Amino acid sequence: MRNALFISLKDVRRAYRDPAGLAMMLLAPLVLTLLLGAAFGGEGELSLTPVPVVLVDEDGGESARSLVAGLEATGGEGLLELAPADTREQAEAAIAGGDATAAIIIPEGFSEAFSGGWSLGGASVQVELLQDPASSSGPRLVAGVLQQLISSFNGAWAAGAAAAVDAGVPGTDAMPEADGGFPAEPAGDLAAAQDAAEAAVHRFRELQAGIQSPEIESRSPRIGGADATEVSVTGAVLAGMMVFFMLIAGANGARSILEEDQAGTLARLFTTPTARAVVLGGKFLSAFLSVLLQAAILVIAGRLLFGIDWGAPVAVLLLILMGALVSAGLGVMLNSFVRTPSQAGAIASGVVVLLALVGGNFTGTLSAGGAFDVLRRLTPNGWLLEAWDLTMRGAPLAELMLPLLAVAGFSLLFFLVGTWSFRRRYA
Amino acid sequence: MSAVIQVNDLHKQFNPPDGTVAVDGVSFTVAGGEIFSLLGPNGAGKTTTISMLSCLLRPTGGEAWVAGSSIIDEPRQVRDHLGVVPQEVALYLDLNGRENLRFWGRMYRLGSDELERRIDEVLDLIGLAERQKDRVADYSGGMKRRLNIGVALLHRPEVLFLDEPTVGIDPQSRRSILDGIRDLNSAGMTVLYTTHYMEEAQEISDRIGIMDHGRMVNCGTHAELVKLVGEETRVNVSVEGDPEKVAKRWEGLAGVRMLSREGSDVRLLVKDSQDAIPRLFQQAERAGSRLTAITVEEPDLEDVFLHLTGRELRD
Repeated sequence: MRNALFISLKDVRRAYRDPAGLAMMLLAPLVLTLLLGAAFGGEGELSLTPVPVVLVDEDGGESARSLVAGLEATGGEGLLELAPADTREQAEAAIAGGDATAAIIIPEGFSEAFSGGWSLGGASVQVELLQDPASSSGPRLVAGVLQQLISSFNGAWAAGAAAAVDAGVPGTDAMPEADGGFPAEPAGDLAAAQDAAEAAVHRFRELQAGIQSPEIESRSPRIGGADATEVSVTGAVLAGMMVFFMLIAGANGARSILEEDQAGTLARLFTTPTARAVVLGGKFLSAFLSVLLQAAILVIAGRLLFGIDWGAPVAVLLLILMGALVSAGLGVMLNSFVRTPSQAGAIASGVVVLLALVGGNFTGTLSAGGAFDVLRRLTPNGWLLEAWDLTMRGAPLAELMLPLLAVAGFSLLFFLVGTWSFRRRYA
Repeated sequence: MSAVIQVNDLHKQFNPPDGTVAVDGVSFTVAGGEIFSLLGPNGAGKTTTISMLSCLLRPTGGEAWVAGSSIIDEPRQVRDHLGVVPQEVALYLDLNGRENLRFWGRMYRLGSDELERRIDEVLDLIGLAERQKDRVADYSGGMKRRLNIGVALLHRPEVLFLDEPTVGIDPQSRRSILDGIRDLNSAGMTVLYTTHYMEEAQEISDRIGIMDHGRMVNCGTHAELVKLVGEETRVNVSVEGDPEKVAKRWEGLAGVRMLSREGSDVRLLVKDSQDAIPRLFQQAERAGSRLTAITVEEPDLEDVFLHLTGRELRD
């Protein structure tokens, strides 16, 4: 076994002395992360993952329904993942249980307050935003969406009121609502309409102010939970790039078996007292160590350069190990089916890119949902990305077991097939 | 001296049953401390033979023992006693000379202290001590060849296999390598050497095995092999006029055998040169040509090969 280690250390040394190889292993993923991270939103602040939000409509009136419709439309754009709840308690439980990052409570009397604004007698109401104290960017996004919606309400209503004033319509105290609570037909005398408009603007300013400073109920931070922490864009992208380039490095590392075969050094190794199984084991180990070192450097670089919070160190270590294992295994298997390094390069590139497309490497750790989520689980990199996503969200180790077992299964399969094929060739 | 290499009826067929038969019943022995050369043209089966003896290829028939161990049943023990210099330079070009030796020494299971000592000795032996820190990619062809040999010497093997170690290098490096092999042999190392250069086999070998088409055609010392040619003498002639027409006339003469013709130069084997040469002049004159130069030489291994196989070594 000592000789297997010597072989692998020699290979790692050679790989990391090659400037082109280094650029491919380390520089490319970092540069691509920088570019893609910037393209997706940059700075690692904006979450690309839909924020799970619980919505409680205690009011049930027309204006409340308009607000809900507006929020649902936003959810359709992939920003929010809305789940209705009947009571405030259910919303609080969802946050505490890690099922939601935030909750929007539309209080009873919301619609009445809207209508009352026209009569200058309506009570002030506040839309409440409850948030998970462990999360920052998710609730911030929800607050932003709410503010934007209320601004639209505000603008539309104010415009309606102004139109009523301009038109000199009397009886604006009976301003009817239509189409989501927006004013439909301003009516009444001019003075009343002016008053009503002022009152409406006042009420909406109040409402907006309430949303700008939403009432936030602090919660004790949850221990674990898959959605405890939002994943930054940069983290998601680098995880995707890292896994992709790990697969490439694994294939390149294992390709050195064919390169040594072509250069005659493999045959020469077989003439030494070192057993063939040890020589091949050393080559497998070198592919594994090269990828392991690459992943370790990328994780550290991601932390130092982009401030990525990868998650719990033990989980990160496990993921790096499993990623290196499955990448090396895939490389060994792919290279075992071809004869020359150039064939290996072409085939491995094609297979890795295909895996990356199906597994979702180019969308980072994001889930596209539907059939894509099923397909990505047919790939080792899909499982790895799922595990990285969980880790970056602060999931406990137990939640990583399924993806890690899947990755281990792929690794075992790849190594068995590759070993069988290589042993057949070099027996 | 007892045989260090014993080869009995060795066969190798690739992709049996219809594949190429590369080695077809080869047998020979090499005594301890001997330099034995396998001489033959490309494709004669020399490298396949040495690959089987190095435990790289498994024979499809026959058996062989190296340093007392069977290449089939005890490959590990065989490799312990063996240093192999492959035909092509098998080194890591992006590592320096010392790093290469260190890596290969570890593969021969040398301990750290002994390894560093042996690296120094081998570097001195192959004359690369001053270039040990340079990348092998920057070495000349001859230097690479020397390092290629040095790798096989690290563990002081009892038997050294060299497969065409001088192909494609300059005369000075070739001379250095051949001298080095003789020095190693003087120190007691048994050497199995393959070449298609007749002069090399003749110069360094104690005994020579001539191979062709996977078979051992004959085997013996240089003197023994030359005797096979019999009383024949080689005659080299330069023809002015129509060499082809002249050569045709000579082929019909008793006691004259055509060896080769390259342009106006013709090589012949004749039984009695005193009698044959005047007849050669006579036939050339009748063909309207004349001889401008003629030399008479003792036969060499090339003549032996022609005598045994009916074709030239360089074919």
